[in-house]
Amino acid sequence: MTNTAGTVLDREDLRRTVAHILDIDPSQLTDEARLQDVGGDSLLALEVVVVLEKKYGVRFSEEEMKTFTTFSQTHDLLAVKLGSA
Amino acid sequence: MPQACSPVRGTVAVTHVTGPRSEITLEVAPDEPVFRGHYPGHPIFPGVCIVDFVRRGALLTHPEPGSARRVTGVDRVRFLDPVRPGDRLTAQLNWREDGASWRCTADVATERGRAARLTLLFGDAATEKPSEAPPETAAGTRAPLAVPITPAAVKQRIPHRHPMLLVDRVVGLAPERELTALKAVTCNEPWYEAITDEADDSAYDYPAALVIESWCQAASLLLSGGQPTGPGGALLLFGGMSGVRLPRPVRPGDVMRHQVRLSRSFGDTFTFEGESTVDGERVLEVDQVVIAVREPEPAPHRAGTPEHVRSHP
Repeated sequence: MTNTAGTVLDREDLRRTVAHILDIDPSQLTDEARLQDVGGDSLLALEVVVVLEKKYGVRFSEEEMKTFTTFSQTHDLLAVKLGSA
Repeated sequence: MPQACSPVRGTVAVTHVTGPRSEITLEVAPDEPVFRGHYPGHPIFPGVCIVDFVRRGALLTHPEPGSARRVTGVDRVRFLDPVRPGDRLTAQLNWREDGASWRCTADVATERGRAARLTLLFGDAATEKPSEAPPETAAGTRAPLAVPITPAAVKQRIPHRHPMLLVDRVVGLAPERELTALKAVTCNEPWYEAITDEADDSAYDYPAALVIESWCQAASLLLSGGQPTGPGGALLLFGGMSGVRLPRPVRPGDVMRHQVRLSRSFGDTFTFEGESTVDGERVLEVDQVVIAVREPEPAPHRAGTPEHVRSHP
């Protein structure tokens, strides 16, 4: 899969990216697991947001940040922002 | 084994080695010199001293001891629980080769549980080319202060004291945006005392841990907005750092010029980025450090502003 200017959202690449920040194996970051159950906390959540903003060239509001509860939600919100939903 | 100076006086021991994995320990003695200044009346083992403990243990277990001895980067560091006088630190190290460099990942724990997790990158001093700093960091600062913030005023803003007060002067400040600070390195700092006359020049590398600590103290000053905070002031919680690179060593006689920029803020949590230069050449690059500001608890035993204390909201 090719990324064009970072706007194509590869689900598994996103999973690896988020898992790296949480310091867990991507296999532990299942779609529906709550991020705080796999080692995330409020400070790590912010790191995830900042890394995703830089990697995909988007910006999240504080309200949107609160919806990052599971990996699926994170992916879906990012997909909407990138227009690839 | 070549000498290197360290802010930690205690001895790092290797308890076992199995291939790329090993275990190291350190007794954190109550009379470690850093505790006097970090912080007075409220001793907390600096997070960067945990990093230095890992560095020293890593050098003792290095798969290729003749090469790649300098810390050229810190991939990720997260502080999970404060470390206090009397704790026994144990770290599980795992080495991996990465091209011409070596990566050492450490899981650090006290008797109470996980304390930190970090990955150090080791390389050769000889192969590091000095990177060029963009002109604006070499020439000056975008928000110069007519009256620099001097040590007396710095002490009103952060709780660090000798020998862990590692900012000499703030020369530029745009509140809530960026800050420029200086720290001079001298061979008269306490960690150089143990270096013997036979040591070569590399023994005088300023510990990577302290290069990073000095920059982080500058970041703390930007957060305090240049305003005094005393005991009972807000708590600064360091969530972690990532993308830290040290392109070349820092030596006595160097003056580090730290640039700190606020990159993102969400409520009371902030991310910073920046770099440090010596004579216009980069010695430190920081992609991201996350710091949260929390109001202190009212109980008197929490007075002070411990950094590297993880909150669990």
